[in-house]
Amino acid sequence: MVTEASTAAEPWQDDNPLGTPPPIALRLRNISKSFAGVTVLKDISFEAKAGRVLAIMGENGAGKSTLKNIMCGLLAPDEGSISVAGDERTQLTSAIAGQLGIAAVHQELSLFSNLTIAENMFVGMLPRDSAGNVRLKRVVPEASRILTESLGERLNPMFRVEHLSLGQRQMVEVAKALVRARTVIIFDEPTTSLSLSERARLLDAVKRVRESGLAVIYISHFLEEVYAVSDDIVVLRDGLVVAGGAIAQMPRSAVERHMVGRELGSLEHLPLPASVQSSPPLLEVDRLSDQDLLRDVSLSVRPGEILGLGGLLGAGRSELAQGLIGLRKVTGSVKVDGKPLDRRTPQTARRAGMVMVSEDRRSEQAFLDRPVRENLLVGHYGPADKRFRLLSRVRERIASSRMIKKFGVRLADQEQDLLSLSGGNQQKVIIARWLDEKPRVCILDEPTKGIDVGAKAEIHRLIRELAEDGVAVLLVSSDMPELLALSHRIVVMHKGRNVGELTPEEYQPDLILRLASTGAR
Amino acid sequence: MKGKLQINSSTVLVLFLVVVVIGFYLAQPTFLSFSNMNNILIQAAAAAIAAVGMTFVVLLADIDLSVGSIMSLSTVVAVSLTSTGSQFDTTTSVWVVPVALLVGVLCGLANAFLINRLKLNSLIVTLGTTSVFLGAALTITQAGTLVLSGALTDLVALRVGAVNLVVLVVLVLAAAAGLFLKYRPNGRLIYAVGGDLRSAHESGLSQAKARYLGFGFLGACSAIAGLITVGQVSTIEANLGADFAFTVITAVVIGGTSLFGGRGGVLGSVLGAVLLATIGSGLNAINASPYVYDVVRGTILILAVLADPIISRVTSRRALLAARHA
Amino acid sequence: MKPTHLHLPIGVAVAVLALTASACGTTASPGSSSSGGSGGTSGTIKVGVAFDKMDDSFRVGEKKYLDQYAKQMGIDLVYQDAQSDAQKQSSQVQSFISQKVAGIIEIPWDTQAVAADISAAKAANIPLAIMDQQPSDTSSVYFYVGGDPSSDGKMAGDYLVKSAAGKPIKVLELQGSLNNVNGIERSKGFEDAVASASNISIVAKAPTDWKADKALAATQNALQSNPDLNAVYAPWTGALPGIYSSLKAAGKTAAVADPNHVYTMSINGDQIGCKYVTSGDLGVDVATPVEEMAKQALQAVKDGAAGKAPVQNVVELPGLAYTPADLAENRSKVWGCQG
Repeated sequence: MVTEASTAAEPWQDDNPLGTPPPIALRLRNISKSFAGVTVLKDISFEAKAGRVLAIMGENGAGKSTLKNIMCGLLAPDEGSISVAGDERTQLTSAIAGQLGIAAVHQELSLFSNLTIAENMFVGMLPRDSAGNVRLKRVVPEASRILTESLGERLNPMFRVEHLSLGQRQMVEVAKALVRARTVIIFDEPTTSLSLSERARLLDAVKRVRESGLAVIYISHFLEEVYAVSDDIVVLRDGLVVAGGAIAQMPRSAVERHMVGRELGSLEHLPLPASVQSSPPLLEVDRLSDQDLLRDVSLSVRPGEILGLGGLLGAGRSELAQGLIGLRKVTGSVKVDGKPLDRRTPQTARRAGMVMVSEDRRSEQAFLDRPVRENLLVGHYGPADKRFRLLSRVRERIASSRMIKKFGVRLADQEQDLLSLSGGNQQKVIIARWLDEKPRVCILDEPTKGIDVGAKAEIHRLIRELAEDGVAVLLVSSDMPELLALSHRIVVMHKGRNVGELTPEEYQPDLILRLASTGAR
Repeated sequence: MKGKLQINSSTVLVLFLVVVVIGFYLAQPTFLSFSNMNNILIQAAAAAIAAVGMTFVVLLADIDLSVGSIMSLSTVVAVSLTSTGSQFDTTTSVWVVPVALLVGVLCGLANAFLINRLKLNSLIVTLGTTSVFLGAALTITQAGTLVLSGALTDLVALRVGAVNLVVLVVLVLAAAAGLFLKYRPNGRLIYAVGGDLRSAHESGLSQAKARYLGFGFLGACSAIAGLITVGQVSTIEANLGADFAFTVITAVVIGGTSLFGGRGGVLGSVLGAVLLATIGSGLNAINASPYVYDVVRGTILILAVLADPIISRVTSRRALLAARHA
Repeated sequence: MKPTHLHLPIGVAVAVLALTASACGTTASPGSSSSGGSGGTSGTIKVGVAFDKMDDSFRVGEKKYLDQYAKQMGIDLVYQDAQSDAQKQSSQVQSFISQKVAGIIEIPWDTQAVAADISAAKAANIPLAIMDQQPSDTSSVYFYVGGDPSSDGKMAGDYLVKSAAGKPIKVLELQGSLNNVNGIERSKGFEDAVASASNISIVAKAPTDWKADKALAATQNALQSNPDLNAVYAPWTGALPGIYSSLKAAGKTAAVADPNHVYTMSINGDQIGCKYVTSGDLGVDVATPVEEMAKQALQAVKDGAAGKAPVQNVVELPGLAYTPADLAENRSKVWGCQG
């Protein structure tokens, strides 16, 4: 664990020449947390000071959400302590966190669209008169004040939330937290779904909140935002604090390096065979756009080539995949093997030879309480499928046994429910389902998300074999080493656009990160 | 938005009501008389009261099909326990009212208990309790008819000035319920739980508690509706509530309360019940077949369900514009 | 671990409980026995009785007489209640047939669909006696006994013509259920009887599905549209209490001699009818000979079980019209006035 803290004069001494440090509102000491034997946070220590914004940065899976949940009292740490204004505790509950004046703006909005802004802000603490009746009008002045002064939003607190835009709703969530925050306020990835102007307003709001004297913790993976509002920073990687200190003392490149720096050696990069380099593309995407996210995305993939798609959450990669397979309405053209594929649905795409293994396998593609055999063979029952006229249970079992062997799925019996398999093996089953029929184009959306290291390696092997068999693979991945090792080329997306295409010589993590977060090299 | 006439389901309903009344008046002038209007309100009373109770349940995004059976069971038990005389000459006493209310509330709480514990859809659970409650009522009466007189029939026929007591009960109950929903914390609880269950859980609000309140209140309302019906008709047959649930739910839906929960109120439900009774009475006045009434009722329900998103889009757009220009 | 799996068994349990509870409330009353095989206990025969519904004072009366005479004739009765559902009734009759009962008595809910039951019973060689609701096709029926709704309605109409004696009459005709032969005929009989009287006009007509609350609403509405309404015809007595309370609320309670008197006519002959004839409110009640009906039905199946065919296979028993004036002499013949 390396802390690149400055040893020169303390940063706050720049603002405060008389030398009184701002009070420490929140201090974490040696916080550790494991889930089912997997260490998610190890020995985390840092301080958040009143009147300053502390940014917590890290990639997906670095442990930011877990850390946030521990700070709000939604999770208890295994080790370590949390002190709020000197009051030291080994764990919090959400009630205690509330009493200590900690409030959070969570990623997922928790608002009642059928109720007014004021009622949402004060839910659970509605103002009452002496007879016990709710008198919402009493808090309207305070609600207005919070909205306009702290957030710069001129909203009438008596409006219903259902009439507000996403950005306005986010502001209401912030206002809700401000009502409750007396010491610390935590922002968890607040700009993920916001438009540019809404984002600017939110950052202004964060600054205003800082002026009010609260300690602000700002969790994000967007570099430019962090640099726009923060005073101090802590970088997490794989559950550890790898860097911390004043933002003024930490250049962006250093932060990038800390976020991503890890051993890339485990997976070597294989070059593209020459034969492939000269083949015409199997998948051609031209100016794909949709109403809100995708903007004129064009790319192409050759047979036997793995095209990696990098980018941050919200960049539009999954949406692109959905648009290709026909699950999302898009404009633009898609050609498979030179033949245009219009009016796509997953079925027509599949008939043309294009399949997708989706990101959220649990909700979108897996039938968790059905047997593995059914999950393997689903989609193969129709009369349109000439290859599998599966009419008897015996033939089904033979077919699924073959698939289980081929894809290395580890299980006791093909009749057991899919749910009883480990995440990695579940993923293998879904992959097997789509890949067994030898598609021409295969889109993989985060295929190893949430899967343990061993299974990850096996799935990487499967993906490589796929390419060796001549399939054009489009690989969406947020796992940097995976992306770098498997891809023959990398396309980076930022806010719905294709902002850069990299050849293996140009593979540098910080370049990719910069493209992903700013859209420019 | 202050001061401007709000266009929402209730105003549309009142408009529709006026149109219907005028229509029937043109066909049959005697329709528009004070005594006939009073008549209609009396005929609407039972459904209106049950609709007030049903509003609470529908606001929670639940539904209760057993209102008719609760009506039967509560009145049957209350009359059996508190009356004197023989089957065809049963004299009721005032005690029939509290006993019926108690039985109604218990039935409602039983519904809520089953829905909370079994974690089943309220539609399915109340489908089952409809039979259970009705079966109990049939067992008690041994399927016979009782002819009533006495305190209950007198109460139901009572007039306070120019208005029937029953109509006053509807008004007072609806007003109290409306105020409760708006101003009491438990009333706000119902809107929150029905509006967004996940957010409610995250805010520590209890769906189970809201259900006990809603279903319990509906049970009491069903009992009152039962007493009114039985008091008017002067007979009890255990099956008196057979078609009732459909009428009540229709009244609530056309009154503007959303079946998805969180939106609506008791005013609309009362107006819905009055509209249905007006149509029924009007059809009678022009000597139409009562089967026409069933067709009309069903059609209005469909129209109301179709119109709801349109109305809410209109109000939404106006509110959005107002919000933007705030 | 999979909460959804818990729903199915619990749902089934609730449904079973519900069905059992409702079944307990509606089938076999304590009075009848269902002992032994098809032969019944020593010397008695077992007969299945399929009622269309039981929540009706008329049915209660029918049951009373069936029980009374069955006991005398050495018949064990098993009751089933179809709760106004034709399909349910059909399957109940089917199960009687498969239980090989000695005979079946049925009050059909659907007078057309009952043809299926008739042929099924015939094929199984079990005597099926239909009671009270005449099947639309009686050509192959083993035995039918019921009232004569047409003549009952006519009697009610005749009473009105006679009592009115030329006075102008505005009458509200309530109708039973119009998909039911009793309802249709009781209405038609009444209308035929008053057709010739020029002083009588039917100002309002309303089908009520035999439901008291619909009758009440129709009466209230008719009074609104026709404030000078002075006669109400209710083809069944269950509607009467509600009708009288509406009349009372409208202030129309004048006695017979009074020119403002409202004439009321009804049919059934049950306790409610007797009560109101006794009090003088009801002008005429046409008592359906329930006792005789039950007796004949039972006799027919008993004979059938012994191999004898009934003398006549369609029997329509005329009702007895009684009024407050002749109550004393007719009392003993009216089933609703007994006990």
